[in-house]
Amino acid sequence: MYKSRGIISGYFAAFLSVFLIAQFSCDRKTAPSGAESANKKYLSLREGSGSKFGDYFSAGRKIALDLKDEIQIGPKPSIGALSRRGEFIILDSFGVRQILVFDTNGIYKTRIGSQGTGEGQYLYPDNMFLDQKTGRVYVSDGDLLRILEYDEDYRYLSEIALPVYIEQLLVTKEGRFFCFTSGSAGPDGADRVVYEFDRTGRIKNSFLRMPKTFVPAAEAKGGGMVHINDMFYIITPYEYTINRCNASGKVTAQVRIKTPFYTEMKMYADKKVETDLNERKRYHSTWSHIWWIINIGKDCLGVVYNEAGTKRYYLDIFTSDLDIIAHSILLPNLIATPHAIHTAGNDLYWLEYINSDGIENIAIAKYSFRYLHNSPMPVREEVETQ
Amino acid sequence: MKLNSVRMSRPAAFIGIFASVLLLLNVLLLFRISGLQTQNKIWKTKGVLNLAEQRALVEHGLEGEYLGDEIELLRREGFRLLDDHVSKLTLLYSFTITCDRCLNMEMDIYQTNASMLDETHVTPLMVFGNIDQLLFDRIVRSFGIKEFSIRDKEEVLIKKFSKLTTPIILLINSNGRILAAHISDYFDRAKSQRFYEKVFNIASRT
Repeated sequence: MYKSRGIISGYFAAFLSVFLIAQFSCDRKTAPSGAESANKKYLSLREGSGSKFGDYFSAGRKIALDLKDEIQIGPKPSIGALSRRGEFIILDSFGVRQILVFDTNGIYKTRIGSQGTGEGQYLYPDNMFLDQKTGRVYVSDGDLLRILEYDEDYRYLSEIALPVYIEQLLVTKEGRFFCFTSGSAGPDGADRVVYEFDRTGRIKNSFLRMPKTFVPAAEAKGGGMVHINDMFYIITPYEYTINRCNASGKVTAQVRIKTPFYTEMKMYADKKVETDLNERKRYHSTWSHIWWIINIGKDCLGVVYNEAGTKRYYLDIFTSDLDIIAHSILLPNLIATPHAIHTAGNDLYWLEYINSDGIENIAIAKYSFRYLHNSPMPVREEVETQ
Repeated sequence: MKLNSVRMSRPAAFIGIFASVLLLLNVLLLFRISGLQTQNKIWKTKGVLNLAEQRALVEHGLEGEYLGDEIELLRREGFRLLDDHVSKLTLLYSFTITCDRCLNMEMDIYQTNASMLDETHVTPLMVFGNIDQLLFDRIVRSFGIKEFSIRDKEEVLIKKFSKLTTPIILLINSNGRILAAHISDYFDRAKSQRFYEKVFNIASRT
């Protein structure tokens, strides 16, 4: 009797230890790095409680770009940065391939670098970062895989070889380089989203895994990261989950959101999606893509996504604690290119096509965010803490 | 109830600990097996062609193929540009707007080789599918390729090459036969340049 009890308790202890080991190893394999201790939240926002754009943003003036005859803008321009002097730096990576600088009134001032493969030149300048502390401009060239560094007066300084094709570059005030990529594989085949690298292009750290639902056929541009109060807020194009990480990559908070106009990515049943372009297009039209994450105001952030299969873009706004401020704000017309929306302080900018005297031109639309921190949360929400 | 009634006997406790150690070893063995299985999978995939090899195979498969029907369909869409095709070698670009980087790179390489194509009497013809009229107009204007670009509304070439989402460049003779094929790879600019050298070689022989 005692003997059998002993054996049973021994086996029980063994199973318990095996169970604990399995759990531990399982967590390490599937959860984002550091996510075990993260504060996880699930927000389900009710239908019909969407907010109006005008409730949160006041329209400023539209600044038409005064293009000289010799300047031609390509089909997909975007605002790269706003300099410390208030100049608009326009990235024109597709077609003409140029970086143009306009003053606060939209008057053309100068170009940064030029097209080519030499020093300070680029072939596909699709992303940039302006260090507000030093005024330095960092341009990433997606074709030659390098970052070009220019000083505040746009003179070429140096270049950094890129370890991976990046979609977004971020330089912290300590001078640390971080990049975001939503592609299927990083430089070492790793399925990470954010990489930190040094000035020699060597990867120092990588963090946050791609969502478990990701498959190569779903690959899309979008998502990104913002840096608020020394924390990174990161989102991929594939699922509406905002991850808050510290600079070493530890996830400190995570929120998954469900809104009326966001359709989650589903797995396809038809294998044709993997090989047939039209089937892939159809598949991508069945779910919403997260397009951008932006920093609004002092410490708020916004996420822009489209309604599945449409070109209607919605914005949800959160506090830095990942509490909702407003959701399902339908954005007015904008040119949808990577990094189309640019923010600086309380101001939101994007490019719009305008027609003046029958000639197509581009204007910078400016809107100001007017959320006050002590105002009550204007939306109802269902919160479930995991 | 007596207290010693719930206490284990020494041999029983020993057996229990021994069993748990044994089980732990089993689990470790399982982990090792699963590791070996992963390694085995990697070895198995060594036999699978990498992306560059797959591309080369498709390119080789396209050479010699007849494209006359597609050219006729495009002509029926009203593209007068194809009227010149009968007496010349044509470099046919099929762009599905899925990768801006690829298109940008191929345009860059085209611009480098444009004068040489002209000298060897090879006519470029750029066909854009999966694109609306407005974007098409903006793209051809900004790249300066309006004179020899067409928007394929019926997506004739996409239907033909639906499995290939990256730009395809084909050298076709006046009978609609593909003489050389190239699938763009934005990690390998040199590959595109090698293709143009092949085109010039063929053109100089004909």
